[in-house]
Amino acid sequence: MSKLAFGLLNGVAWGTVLALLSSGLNVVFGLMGTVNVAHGSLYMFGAYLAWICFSFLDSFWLSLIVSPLTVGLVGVSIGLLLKPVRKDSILTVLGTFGITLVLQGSALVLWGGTPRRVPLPFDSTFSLFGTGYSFYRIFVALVSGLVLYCLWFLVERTKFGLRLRASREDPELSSAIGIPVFNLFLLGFALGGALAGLSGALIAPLVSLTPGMGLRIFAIVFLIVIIGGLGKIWRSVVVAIYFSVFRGLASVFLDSTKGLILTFSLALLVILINPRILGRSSANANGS
Amino acid sequence: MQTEASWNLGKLLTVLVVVLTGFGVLPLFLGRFQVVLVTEALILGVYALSFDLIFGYAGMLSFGQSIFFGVGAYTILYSFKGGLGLAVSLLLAVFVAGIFGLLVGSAIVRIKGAKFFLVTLVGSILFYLLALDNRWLTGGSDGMVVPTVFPGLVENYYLVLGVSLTTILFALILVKSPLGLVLKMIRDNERRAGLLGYSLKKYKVMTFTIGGGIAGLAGGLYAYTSGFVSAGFFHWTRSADAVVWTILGGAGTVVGPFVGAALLTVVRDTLSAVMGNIYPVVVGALLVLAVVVFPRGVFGLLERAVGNWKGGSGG
Repeated sequence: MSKLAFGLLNGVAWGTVLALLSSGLNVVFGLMGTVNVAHGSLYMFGAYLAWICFSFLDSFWLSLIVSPLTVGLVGVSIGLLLKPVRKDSILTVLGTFGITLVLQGSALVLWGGTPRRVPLPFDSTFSLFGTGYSFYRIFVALVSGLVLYCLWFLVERTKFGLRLRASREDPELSSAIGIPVFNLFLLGFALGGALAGLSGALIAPLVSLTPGMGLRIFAIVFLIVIIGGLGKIWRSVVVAIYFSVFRGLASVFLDSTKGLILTFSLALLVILINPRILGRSSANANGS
Repeated sequence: MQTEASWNLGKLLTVLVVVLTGFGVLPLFLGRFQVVLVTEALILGVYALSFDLIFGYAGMLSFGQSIFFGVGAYTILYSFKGGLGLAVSLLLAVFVAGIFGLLVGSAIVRIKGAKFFLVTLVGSILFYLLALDNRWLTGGSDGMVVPTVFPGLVENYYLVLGVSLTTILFALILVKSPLGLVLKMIRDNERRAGLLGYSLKKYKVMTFTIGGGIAGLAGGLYAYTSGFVSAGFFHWTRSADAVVWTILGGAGTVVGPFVGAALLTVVRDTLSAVMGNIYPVVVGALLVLAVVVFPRGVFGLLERAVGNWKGGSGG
């Protein structure tokens, strides 16, 4: 019973961060039709920035501002770099994959392959079935939920969001009526990067940091975005929580490798048998 | 993307003779270490070619080639354990990996573009995790030793050379055949090919199967020459290697993947002597550069240079 509760609670806490991370990818992919493979590495970069803030500036909290800002800037640079190929989905995948290699490789050169740890910023716990459960996880879930709500508001309820969605639906018409499509493209990358940086910083005290932490999570996050539906922020939140609760429970009752195998298989199965996911793809994500 | 140097038979024969002689006498001029390096580069070239057929000719961005590479490698292991000879084992590796290609291909060819990339990436990760988890079958990350007697480095080199040239010849015939033309049409304009009545699914599955078989052949050769297999053969980074080599060498050409694999094997080797960690950064930067500046790879650049020099329509 306590195992079940732990699995559920961990799943929800992880799920909100995954949702935050996937919403960042969703802004770039779902709303702009560009797949940023480097999204996972931006998250890794955000996590390492948290470690730097903690180790050298002695303040983890600072990273909740530093990480999104810095990583957001990196996101903009990626957008600028990819300007010539942004309309070709295959070339953007390849280009951002190259950037992934650069970011991951640089992390290895700069910070080494040994796992780094950031201690919990506050270590108060509450008792759950006789075992301590950290408040920090609850804090992470709350912050993620709040940011997700702001993001939803930004995309669905503001003029900025309207323009973003319009420029994805029809880039030519949008630029004809005066929407600065390319600037929005860069802003989308900034937003996506900032969200990845924030997710990385938030998660840093809960995991051990390695340069390779980005790519596997990218696969998970991309699966979530595709299963949830492009451009649908709330749907990918639901899928993210579902995904991580399932994985949490599977890891508790099996072991972590078997849990991951089961989760990935199920996700692939959902994609392969679901005609909605197969059939509808964004204009730019369609073929070479 | 659609350019094809016009080869006539005489030119082809000349090139063939030069290449054959060059590679034939190469071991005479190389030390033991370089022979191993060239052998490895050739195997990896075959592996990259398997990706190129799927991506460069049929337009499917697959990050799943390591699945078939791994399957081929383990087929060799168990075939040797079962007492079969090298030739039969290699054919078996092609066959088994081809079957896997057929199965995986049939399940996923309907998926398009970036989603195809995702599904094959996750497939790669899944096979790697399965290989890690089933230690009894794969030996996990520690791997297993392939029970074989080595005839010698130079003998291995000639074996690999022979297999590579056969594969290249097969690929050349394939891409010049009517099937190859249909594939290129699918890559360049999928909708038109479908409207003309070509069964996209059938052709794509066929390519995926052939690509799987060739990747299995490369995996088998790799397992045989290194005498060792492990779950790491399935790791997605191996899939990514094939992608990077092909893009840098020149996608949509038969020789490009070999150029890319050879160049990067040399680069990796040179860099590891200087600073081992820097290799991924260099490769990543080259990939970005290739995508943004020269999407047709080194071979494409060469082809264009030759074309300009001849003043013809080669580039």
